[in-house]
Amino acid sequence: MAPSSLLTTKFFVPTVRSTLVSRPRLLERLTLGLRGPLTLISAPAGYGKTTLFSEWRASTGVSVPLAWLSLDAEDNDPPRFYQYLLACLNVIQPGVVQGLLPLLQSPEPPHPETILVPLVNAMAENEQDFVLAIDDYHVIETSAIHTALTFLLDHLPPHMHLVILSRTDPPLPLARLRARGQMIEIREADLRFTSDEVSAFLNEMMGLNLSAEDLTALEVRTEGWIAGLQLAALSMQGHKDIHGFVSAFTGSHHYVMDYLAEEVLKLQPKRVSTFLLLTSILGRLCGSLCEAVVGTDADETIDGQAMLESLEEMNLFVIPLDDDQRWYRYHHLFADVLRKRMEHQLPHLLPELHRRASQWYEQNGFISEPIQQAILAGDQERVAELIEQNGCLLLISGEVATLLNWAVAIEFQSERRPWLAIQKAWALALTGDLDRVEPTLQAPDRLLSPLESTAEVRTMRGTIAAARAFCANSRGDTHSAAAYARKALEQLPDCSSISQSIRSVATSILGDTSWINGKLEDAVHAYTEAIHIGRDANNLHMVIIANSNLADVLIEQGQLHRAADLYAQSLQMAVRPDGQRSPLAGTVYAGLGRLAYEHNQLKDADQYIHQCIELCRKWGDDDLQSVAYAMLARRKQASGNVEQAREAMRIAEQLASKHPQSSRQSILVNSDLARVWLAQGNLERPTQLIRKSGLTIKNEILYQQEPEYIILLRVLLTQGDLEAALALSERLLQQSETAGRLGLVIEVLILRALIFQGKKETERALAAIEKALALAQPEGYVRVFLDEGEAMTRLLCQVQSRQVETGYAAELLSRIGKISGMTQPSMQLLIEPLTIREVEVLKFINAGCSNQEIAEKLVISIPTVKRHISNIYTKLEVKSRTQAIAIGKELKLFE
Amino acid sequence: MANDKDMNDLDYKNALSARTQGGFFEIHVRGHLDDSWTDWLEGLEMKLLDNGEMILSGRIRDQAALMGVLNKLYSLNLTLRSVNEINPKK
Repeated sequence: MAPSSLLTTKFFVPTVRSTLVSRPRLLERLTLGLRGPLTLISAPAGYGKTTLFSEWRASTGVSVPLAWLSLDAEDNDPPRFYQYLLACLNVIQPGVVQGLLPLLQSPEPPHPETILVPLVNAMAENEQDFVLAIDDYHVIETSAIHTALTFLLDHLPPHMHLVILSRTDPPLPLARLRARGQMIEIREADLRFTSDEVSAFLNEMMGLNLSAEDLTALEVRTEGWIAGLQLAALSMQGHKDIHGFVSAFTGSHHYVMDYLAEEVLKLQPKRVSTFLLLTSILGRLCGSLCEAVVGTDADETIDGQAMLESLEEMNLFVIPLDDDQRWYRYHHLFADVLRKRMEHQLPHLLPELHRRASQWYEQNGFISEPIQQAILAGDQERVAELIEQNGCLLLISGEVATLLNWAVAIEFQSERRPWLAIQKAWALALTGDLDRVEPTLQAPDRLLSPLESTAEVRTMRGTIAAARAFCANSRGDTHSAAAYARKALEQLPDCSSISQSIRSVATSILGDTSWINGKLEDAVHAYTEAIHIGRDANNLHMVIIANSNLADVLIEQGQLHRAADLYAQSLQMAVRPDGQRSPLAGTVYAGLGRLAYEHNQLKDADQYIHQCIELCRKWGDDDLQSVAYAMLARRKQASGNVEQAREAMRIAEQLASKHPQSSRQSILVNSDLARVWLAQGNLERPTQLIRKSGLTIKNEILYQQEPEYIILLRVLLTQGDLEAALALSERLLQQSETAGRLGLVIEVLILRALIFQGKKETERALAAIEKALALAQPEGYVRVFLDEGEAMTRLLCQVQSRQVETGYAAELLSRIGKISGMTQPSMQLLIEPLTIREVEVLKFINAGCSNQEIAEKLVISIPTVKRHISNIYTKLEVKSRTQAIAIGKELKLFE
Repeated sequence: MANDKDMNDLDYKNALSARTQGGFFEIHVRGHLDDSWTDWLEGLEMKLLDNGEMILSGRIRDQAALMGVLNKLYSLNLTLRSVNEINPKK
């Protein structure tokens, strides 16, 4: 539901009528209550709750920022409730709708906290006191909404004040709030007219001039019930014998509203009473709607608008809903009495009246109302037709619960109407009721099978397949999900926007299934398609998501530059010109941070990571926040800030334990944490992790698990279990090469080099490193080398001295130099430092001396020189003088 | 022989049926309604008492229906005095 189709009448703060008795004692109470978190006005209908608030609004509270929302029964659908809540708060905080609306656009019902945490954070930015008033809260029966309100109350920002007007005490933690003095209540006993107020109202306002006895009698009879007194006043205004009226009235036990409404209606001309009766079926009235409903049943044609205005003038319980005198409603009690009379006297008219209303609403572009009225008319055919027409719109806008309720009301129709059944199936799928989806799809499947493949039929068949794909994907059955998704795409034409939307969903599912199974090229293809279709259908939300997924896959493929471009594009889409950022920007920042870190652009990495964390805090995304903190830990460790790294890890773990994470995210977090632990010499935690995940060297390695097996590989290497490490690394290398997972290939090659180094197989070590370097250079991988520390530095020195490769090793080494800012001879890089004598020998070698010359200069024998040289070669792990000199230069021994 | 398990099963079944088959209720309110309200109140019979109170009585199908009636009475601002089930099955 686009914001523009929201009923603006629900945000209209009711205005004060002039014929009101002012009630200063209650206004004071309200003012007092509004200093605290919650003011509850709880009393039956007809006690002037809303009127009291209007009066406060017009006097004391005239300059207080106010957001007002009138609820009705349809608002029991959480997405709809949140939409109205956001829209009404937009008055206080312009922009909060645009910022948060994307969260509501995913068809799956949002977790209350997903909306409320960012909402609360947004509202907390207000430094001026403001009020959120919710009227008619008693219509809400959905526990999810009660939970949401409880959450809101628990986290209410200090400047935000909540007022709830209700006919019953809402199921919120009232006792707790009462006990803590955080709630002020205004109840029936407070709202009843006192004797003074009865007198003021009847005699002064209504000009009735009643005796003290009569006043008392009326007060007792009505018990101060304001609606009763109002109706009594209206009755008495038309009566000649007021005292007689009062006697008769007070002597009767007849239900007050019934009695008085009867009296009032008797006084009206027929066309007015007919108008009142017929239009009593409507919740909201406007001139032309009333005319449509009354039709030709009245004796004369009526002018609906004129009639409503005159009713308002007469104070006949017609209440305006907007400023331009367009929409009204009846006072609930009066409407109830009218309706009851209607049903008793003219029940045969009711279906026709509702049908007329349904038609008017449809002709005037409403979506829900025509359906509601058709249901009341008992016109199942029409209801089915209307739902079929609008069902997809409702699904896409997230009003799934509403759709389900209606579909259930016309259960049998779906046997004959395929679209209805398909819409119902999707509604079930989106609300997680997966088991009922397939049975619901049986009927439409059957109905469609003999039909010719027109565009309409193909759209339906495709939508059925897409529903099955969605369910399979939700269950983790990637094989079936992919099969159904493909089937959907075969069927769905690209002609309508609905069809396009389903195509993008199906394509996205294909992307997901390919990725999970390691088919990276297919995933790239699918997500690219999804982006394309999303742009076509103008669905920004889908485009950003598909973009991010695509970028993530590209990173796995080692296409770092392309991924960076995509992230940059996504960021542009996710950040509005006024600087407002969509919640989706968080994943983009995370990706950018990871890339920047790999490229050793550490300042940029810091910035991106912190922006990600900030957004995560704002939107309440704990999962992504833990990923960001794990990245931060790695970053801090890289620059040697061990304590900060530990702190970041602690936070990452805490956040990850709050909800069950998606496996992709938890693997990312564990991967980074394991690296930092190992770098800090902590073998225990990574070992625990491996045991918890049930990883052993014997298992088959699934694509998603590859990063976890890297952790196992590192642990084996650190433990010195080199044979096992080597075997595992071979399997990982093969798998990741086949899948085209470049980043992992490079990492495995590096680890293999370290394994070979440990086994003293220098040649194989260098070969592995050289291969890694060749792969890493085009895309600028840096930290995957640097994070391995001294062992890697030595290897890089060796590679450089061989001068076999393109100089990437040198580039990496110069970065190491820059980081540690080494100016001293870096003997620490050698496992076994050269002795002073050996350094001397090396210096002579550098100077170009032969063994003979060195023997002479040092006054030692030639065999001794040779022995020194042999030791030097061993310690530097080289085989020639040239190589030795190169290393010596790196170690700055000749300065 | 009838053992404890059998009795417990029977109790359970009775309790279950009472909840879903409903029972005969008497609802006591303050105020007189006329019988044009019968349809709105699940077809219950209305007995008007001299003291201005009224007893609605009849079979009410289940708890949901009962709450429906009570809510309806509340929405008309009638004061509820008592709700009793007559002759619950034992």
